[in-house]
Amino acid sequence: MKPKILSVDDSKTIRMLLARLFRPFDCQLFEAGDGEEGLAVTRREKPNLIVLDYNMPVMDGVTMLRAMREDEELKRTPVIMLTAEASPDIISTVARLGVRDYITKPFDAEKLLDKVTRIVSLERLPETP
Amino acid sequence: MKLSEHLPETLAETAQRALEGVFTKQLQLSIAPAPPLSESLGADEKILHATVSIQGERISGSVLLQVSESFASMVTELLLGIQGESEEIKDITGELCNMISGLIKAELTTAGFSGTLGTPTVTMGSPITLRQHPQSELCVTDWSSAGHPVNLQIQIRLLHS
Repeated sequence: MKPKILSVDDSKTIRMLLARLFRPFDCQLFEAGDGEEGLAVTRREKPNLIVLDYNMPVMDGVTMLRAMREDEELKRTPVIMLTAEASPDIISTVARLGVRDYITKPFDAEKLLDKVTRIVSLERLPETP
Repeated sequence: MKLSEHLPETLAETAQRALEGVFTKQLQLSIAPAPPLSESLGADEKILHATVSIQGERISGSVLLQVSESFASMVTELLLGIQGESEEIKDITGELCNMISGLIKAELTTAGFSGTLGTPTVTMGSPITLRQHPQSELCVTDWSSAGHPVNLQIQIRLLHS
C-alpha cells in the first residue's frame, strides 16, 4: 500500500515544492489549501502523514489539528508542522496537540524529507530515462 | 518611545538578516546592497508587491517585499522547475514575503514584542513605499540578487509605550 501524504498550505508554491520533493517516491500526495479542506481530505483519504501550515485563511493549522485530535478516527494521524510562524506559544500549543515535528520556513527540503521518512516508509521509484 | 530603542539591532539590520536567511536557505541566492528600486528597474519592468501584516498587543506593522516580474519568474523556475504562470509567480512572491516576515516577527518576539502574521497579499504595478504613520518607524532597504533589484520595507508602530 502506497503511503498517503497530505500537504495543507495556502501557498501553492509550498504545495508544489512538496509535490516535487515526493515525486521520486512511490507515494500518493494529496493537497489542501486551508484547514477546512485539509480536514475534509483527511476524513476521506486517511493519510499516513500530514505536512501542515499554521497561518491559513478559513481555518488555521492549530484549529484543524484540534479538530483532528477530537476525532477518534483521526486523532493518531502523524503531523509535521511546516510554517513561517515560530512563536513559542504556538510551538508549545502544537506540541501539546502531539505534532511529531515542527519545521520553520525557510526550510531545507532534504531535512524535511529526512523527518518524513522517520514517520512513513518511502520507496524510491525507478528513474525514468 | 520608538520601537527601535527596544531592539538589539536596527530595523535595517533585521531586514537584512531576514532577507539573507530566506534567500540563502530557500533559494541559494546571495544579496548585496543596491541603489533604490526605481533607479535599478528596466524600462517597462513590472513589479510584484507582497505585503504581510504583523499584529500584536504592543505592535502593529507591515512587511513589504518588491521584486521584478523577471526575478519572480527566475525564482519560480529555480524552486519549482517550471516556467510559472502569473498565478505561480504571484504565489511564490507572497510565500517569500511570508517567510521573511516570519523571521522578522521572530526577532521582534525575542525582543518582547509578540504578534501574529497575516496572510500575504500580492499585487502588481510600479514601485511603492509604505506610508509612514505618525509614531511608526519605516525602514526601506534595497538589494540586488542574481542581478535583479529587491526592495524590502518594514513599517512598525509601537502601540503602548
